Amino acid sequence: MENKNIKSFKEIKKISIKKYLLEKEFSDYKKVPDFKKKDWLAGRFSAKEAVHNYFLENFQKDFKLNKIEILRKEINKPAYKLPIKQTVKTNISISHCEGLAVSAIAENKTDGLVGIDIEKIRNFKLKEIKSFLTGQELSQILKQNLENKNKIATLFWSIKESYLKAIGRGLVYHPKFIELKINLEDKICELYDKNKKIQAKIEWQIFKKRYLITKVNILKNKI
Amino acid sequence: MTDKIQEKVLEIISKNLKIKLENINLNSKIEDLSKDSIQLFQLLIAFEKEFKRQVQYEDLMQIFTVRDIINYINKNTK
Repeated sequence: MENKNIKSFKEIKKISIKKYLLEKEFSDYKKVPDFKKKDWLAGRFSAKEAVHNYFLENFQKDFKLNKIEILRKEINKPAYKLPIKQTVKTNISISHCEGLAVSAIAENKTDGLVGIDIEKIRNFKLKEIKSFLTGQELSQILKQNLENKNKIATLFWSIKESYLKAIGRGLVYHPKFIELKINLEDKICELYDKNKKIQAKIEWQIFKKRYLITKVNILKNKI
Repeated sequence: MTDKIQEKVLEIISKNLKIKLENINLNSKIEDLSKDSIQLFQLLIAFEKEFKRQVQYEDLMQIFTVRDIINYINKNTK
């Protein structure tokens, strides 16, 4: 999976916050509940670094991390602001889990809208799985052994969440409106939103054996 | 009725998010109380199940604080 930036709180904890946060971001940070602070910082760092790397690689512009502001414009769809005016339109996505954060940046024209998600592979109860899967998805999962069941259930959830983040709707939209047809062997996934097929590039990977990272790119002009 | 609804809402939050009742503030944002998106989603499903007639999933997701949820359910109960 390319174009994503994984960061852990452990890696950044010795870096001074001032080196990567703007003053107003520091005020936001103070309002974050204590148990979410590590994730929040890792998320901000990861997103800023993704933006930094994108501009460095593509335009040879080297922005300091504390000059890149991460904004929350829409529900569940962050944005960013640079000290100079941008000519290329891009969008970003951030996700975090247990001190790990992952983010992605995409050019609207070529890569479409991006949504990224990191989840810990968890032990689901059947009623939990039923709450977000369609009947067809559920039957695919129920054929699996317990270990795979949890892995695949997490995969279904995470792809749905990445998709919802890409379109900027988050959980406002019920995950059951989305149906996934996943071919696990070939790592291919088709996504249907209210029965309409969405042209999307869907990728996933297991990270450190316990986490699952998914990324969805939706080609805007094909929605 | 209002008190009963408040009591039930707090009980559902406490049970689903595994937070002690005394640690739930009415001004707390639901998103901030939840550990992750799956937990948040399960909480909303629990509200939907408990208050079938009074809540709609899409509305719940646009509510921010514990107090907002109580007010929303109260309003739809009348």
